[in-house]
Amino acid sequence: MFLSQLWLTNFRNYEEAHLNFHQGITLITGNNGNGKTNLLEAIAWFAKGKSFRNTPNEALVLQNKEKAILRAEILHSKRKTTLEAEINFSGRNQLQINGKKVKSKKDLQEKIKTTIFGPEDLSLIKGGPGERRNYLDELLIDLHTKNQLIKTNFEKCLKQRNTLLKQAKGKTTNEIEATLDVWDEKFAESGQQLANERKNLLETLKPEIENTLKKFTNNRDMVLFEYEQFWENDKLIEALQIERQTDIRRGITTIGPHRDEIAIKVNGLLAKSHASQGEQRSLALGLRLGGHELVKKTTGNEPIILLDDVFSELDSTRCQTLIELLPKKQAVLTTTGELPSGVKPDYKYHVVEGSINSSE
Amino acid sequence: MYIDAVEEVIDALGRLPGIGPKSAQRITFHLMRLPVEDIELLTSAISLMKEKIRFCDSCFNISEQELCPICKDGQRDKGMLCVVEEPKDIIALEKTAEFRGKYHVLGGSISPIDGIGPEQLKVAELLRRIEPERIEEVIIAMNPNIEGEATAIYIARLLEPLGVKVTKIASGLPVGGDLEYADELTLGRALVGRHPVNEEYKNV
Repeated sequence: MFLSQLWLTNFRNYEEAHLNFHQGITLITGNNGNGKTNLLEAIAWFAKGKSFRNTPNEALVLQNKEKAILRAEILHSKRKTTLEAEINFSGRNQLQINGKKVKSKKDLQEKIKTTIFGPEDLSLIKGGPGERRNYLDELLIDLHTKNQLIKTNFEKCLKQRNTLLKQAKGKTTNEIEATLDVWDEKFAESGQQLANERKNLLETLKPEIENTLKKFTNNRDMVLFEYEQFWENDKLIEALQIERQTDIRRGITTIGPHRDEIAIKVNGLLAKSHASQGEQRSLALGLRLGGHELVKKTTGNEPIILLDDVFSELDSTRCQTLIELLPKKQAVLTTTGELPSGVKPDYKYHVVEGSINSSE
Repeated sequence: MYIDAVEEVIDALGRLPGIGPKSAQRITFHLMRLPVEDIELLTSAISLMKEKIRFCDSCFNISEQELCPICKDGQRDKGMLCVVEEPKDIIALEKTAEFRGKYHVLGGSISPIDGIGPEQLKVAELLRRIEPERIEEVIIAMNPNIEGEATAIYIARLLEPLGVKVTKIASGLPVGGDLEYADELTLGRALVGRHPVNEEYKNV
């Protein structure tokens, strides 16, 4: 599968734009603030069903316009598929595949997958546990769209339980206890399911990440990935009961998969606090590339690689390794400065304030 | 855009479920062309309905009298009670002609986000019916979503000590549909809820 054409209407700073894409490496150059990342955002929108920068709809639509329209043509062997998304300033988005309306973003996600590398990936290592949980959850959905349901169900239970705890205002009545019993059960059921999926994923993911990391670092650091849950497995319901009084007092659910952590340790020390900046970047790249390999292997579909200005952050040896690891299928890169010497893009575009020039 | 009198009708109609701004506009312009008698027929029918309709004292279905026609019907199987969220669910179940017992309308499902707890629902009223009406089985027919399932658990726990059999309607594939069109969740549940084929033709 690869992206062959992309149209944008009223998206971000593009009033009207059309680009041809090919297999191989496409390079997008341009100064800061001219709209390079917006193009990557448009491609990734189909795969995520939202902006990968988590931008709300209002900010995706060009000023004073009601809606943005994105259209992509995907080639799968020789079959053409057209994906279309109408992003409304207010109200629901409309999605189409081959001119036919589809109900959910799940349908689009089955057609196109992307792996994004960006400067903010460092937060996968440095940031809070939420960053790492999100990384696993997004990967789960890339691997199987049914996992979206597991996640949505869990989040719904969490929201219901938290609302109930807030309504209790620190005091408990028989009524509230009895209602909590019920939500505990649904929360534990959906939470256990999500945690199990995450743990299974981490197990299959480990060898993939280790493989890519070997190529980045020559030294034999022991890298460990551990799924940490602060409750005993299969006993989430008991854990909720133990924490109930705390939960009621604080008005929030203090235990469960939404508080779990994926601990990354290098030679026994937490990478978050002990690894150097360079090591952290390598680890972040390892997570992204490892996930990419796993999606490729399990779904048989290689995601399109989107590299958002990552070369400026890496030293030349790491740049070189990254380029060697780049898949042969399709990659789109943006850069403000010079490319490392080893990169030979097959196609080039230059953007100036929302208009696109093909430079080769 | 329009004069106030027109705008007000469009606005009021647009608040109804299933009617968007375009439909509201179309209906308003249609109403404008209707003769006065037809308009009066419509408005008086609506206000009459509002005047006459109340909720059944026993099951909280919509009714014109203290008791709804189903509760008054002596032919109904008295030992069976089916618990639903809304009166419209009764209509759907009645169309099946499979159920001959009585109903109990809860008025929604437990959803803290929407500010609905057990005390906002007719749960206590349900419990009060079990003994005097000699109910033997309660069938829970909630919507198959998380809130519906949570409500089902809640009710089942309260009913258990009363020594009444509690069942839940099955979830699975729509009859006459294609397997391939079923979503993963429905199909998954249908798989979990499978049963021996032999039992099926014994029941027929």
